[in-house]
Amino acid sequence: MDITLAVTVLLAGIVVVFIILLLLVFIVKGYGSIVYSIQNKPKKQKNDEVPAEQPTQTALSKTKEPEAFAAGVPGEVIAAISAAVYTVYDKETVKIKSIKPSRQDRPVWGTAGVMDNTRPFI
Amino acid sequence: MEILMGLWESLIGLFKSSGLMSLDWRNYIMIGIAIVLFYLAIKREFEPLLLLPIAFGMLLVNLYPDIMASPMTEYIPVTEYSGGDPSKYATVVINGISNYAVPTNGGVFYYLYQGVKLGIFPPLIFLGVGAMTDFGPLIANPKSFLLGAAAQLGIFLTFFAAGFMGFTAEESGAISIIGGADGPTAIYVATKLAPHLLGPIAVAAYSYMALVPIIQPPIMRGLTTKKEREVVMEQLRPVSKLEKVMFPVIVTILVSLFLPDAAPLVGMLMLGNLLKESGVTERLAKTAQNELMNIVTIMLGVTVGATATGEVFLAPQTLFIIALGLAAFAVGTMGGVLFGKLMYKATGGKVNPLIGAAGVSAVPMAARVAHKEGLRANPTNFLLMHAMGPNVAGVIGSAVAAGVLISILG
Repeated sequence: MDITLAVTVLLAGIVVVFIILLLLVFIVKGYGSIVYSIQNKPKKQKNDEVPAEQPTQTALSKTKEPEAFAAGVPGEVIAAISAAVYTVYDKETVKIKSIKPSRQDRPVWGTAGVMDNTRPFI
Repeated sequence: MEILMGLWESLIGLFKSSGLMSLDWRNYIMIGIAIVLFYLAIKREFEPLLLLPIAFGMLLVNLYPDIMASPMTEYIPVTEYSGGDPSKYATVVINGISNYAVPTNGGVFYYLYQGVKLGIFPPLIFLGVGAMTDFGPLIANPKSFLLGAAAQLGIFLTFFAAGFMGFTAEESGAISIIGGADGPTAIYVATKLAPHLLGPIAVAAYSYMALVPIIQPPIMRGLTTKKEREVVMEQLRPVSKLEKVMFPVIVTILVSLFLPDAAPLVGMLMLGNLLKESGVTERLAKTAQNELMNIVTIMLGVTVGATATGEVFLAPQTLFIIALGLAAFAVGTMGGVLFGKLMYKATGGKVNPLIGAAGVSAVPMAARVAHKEGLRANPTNFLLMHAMGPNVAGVIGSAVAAGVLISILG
């Protein structure tokens, strides 16, 4: 293979891939900031409005340090559940207190199947 | 006695037309290789969804080569013709003898293979991939795009090396795309640039994708320090539905405008994602990621495997392809990790370099490997969602790289 062509493809390839993805970085960052700031604009409260109720505490504790997780739950499962929780809830406001298997009358896949089959046909 | 003679001649005729008389030693070796691939796919679960159909296609074509035969015209002398009404056939004179030009159909895989040859199946697989992919982590941290770009370094350096090993430019391009760690992309590029190498490239690509948990960790540990691997990254911000809906449209417009050759792959990937994220086409998204993808996977796999005949596969160049594929994977991982280290330095230690290895677009295996290595260094570190950003960026990056190769070499 011609050395000129080889070097051309090598350089052109790296440069083009970086340029296009760099452009995507700026564009995604740009529209992401705009949309995020619009959608998360703090709403002004009127004096006579009643403040919204605080969300009820479930298994998530606001202030306590996480306790030891239940024995027998694999580390990967804990990692996946923790990642999912922190993705949905802001880490600043919640901390996972414990993770333990729940009692299931029906297997999860069975439940998913029932929900899928009983959902109204669109 | 005549009946016995007729029976004997029939049996002799059947035996002479059987594969036992028409196959050569290369076919039998390929049958053995197909069985090994069955073992890898079924017992060791190496990318079974594609490797098993590929292996079966390989088995079938080496047992019955005509399964991939293209349609042809058979010239039968008029005096020897014993079929139906010959009036529908053209008459051709060859060496003074009149012949009927009788068209024969191709093998079943020949027709199914048109989906690969015409570049239809890989974009359809990407449609399903897009419908299964969540680009949220990437949108939340767009810098991950750069890690996805850096991991494509393996493709272009391998292209350079392949040229010096005696491959043509088109063959080098098709082989180097293995480094993108993306099966449909590898098949798409190989079909466009070097269709005669499709069999070994596809087998190499899917085998290495399954070996990501073995290939990547030593490279990741070798290129990073313990302190770097322990970095805990900042929680990703939540991503709204509007952002997720805008993303596929913007990516399609930008990539297709700048690199039209990447439009089939990137466009279908983003269409699938938009079907999922819009929320108003749930049935289409479900079909794309389930029934459609499964049907296309079967047809793609079995016909790609059917290109792996003995003449193509049992050649010295196959060993080179396997070696170059491994090099492409390794260099891609190195590129991603090294760029991750650069980002670690540039951000004052906020980016864990391990997530750079996930820029190799074997989704979600590479992200999982990065997460596991992070856990080894720091048992409380959850890198999975951070690694998913570069992982899905790598899918876009490898499609863009494919577009570049096709644009320059096609």
